[in-house]
Amino acid sequence: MLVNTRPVNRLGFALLHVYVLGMCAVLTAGFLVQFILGELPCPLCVLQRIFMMLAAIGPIYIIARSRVDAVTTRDFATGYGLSILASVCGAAVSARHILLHIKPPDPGYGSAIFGLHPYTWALITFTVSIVVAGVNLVLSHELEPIDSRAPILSTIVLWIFGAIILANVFVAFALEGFHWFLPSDPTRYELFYDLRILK
Amino acid sequence: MDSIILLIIFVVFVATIKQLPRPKLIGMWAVATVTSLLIFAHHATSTLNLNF
Repeated sequence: MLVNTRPVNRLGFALLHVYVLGMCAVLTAGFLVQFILGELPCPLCVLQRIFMMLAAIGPIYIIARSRVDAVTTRDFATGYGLSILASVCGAAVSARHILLHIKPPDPGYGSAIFGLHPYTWALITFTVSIVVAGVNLVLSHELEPIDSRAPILSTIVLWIFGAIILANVFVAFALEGFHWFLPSDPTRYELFYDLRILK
Repeated sequence: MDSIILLIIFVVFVATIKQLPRPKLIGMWAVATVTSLLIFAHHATSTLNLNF
């Protein structure tokens, strides 16, 4: 339960959790495309996932601060500042990915989901992330969660996000095996071939 | 490299929860971000014939 008297501060606190859960939802959708549709992520797809996690670290920082102490304006600005920086980098990667496949009759990389390819959804995600972080910074006086606490909700969000990072670590390691870089057009999980489990 | 960066992100995540000092957190986050950007630059330029 939230322990703050001002509803608008509670809204700001809830927004932090919605932000992280939104990123988790997009990253989970990436896993569904990978494992259900069987489409392996290319290096740019993995980089977009990395920047989504780096963007979510910002709100995670604010949530973590709220668990031990009152969140200050400095904490709030640091968290959303990190999100904006990572989102701008992620948007650059997504834009590059879109431009690679923009020339007709290129069908694009992988399947379209609701009419758009995953990297286009990634650009939309980064754009929304920048807008949300910007609005939060503009309205920081109203939205910063001064004394807001929701220990159970925050713990659940932190566990979900931690699990998604770990899952991405294992998936990326399986994809690249003992090589420095991911193959530009991956067709198999290199680790199993490097370990001679598959031939 | 990508799995190493993801591992760094996990370390940053754990350090954030454990309340490490702010400069250390931002430093580790910056290492992961800059390394990712360098990988992006590598992928963006590796197929080009750059003759400066």
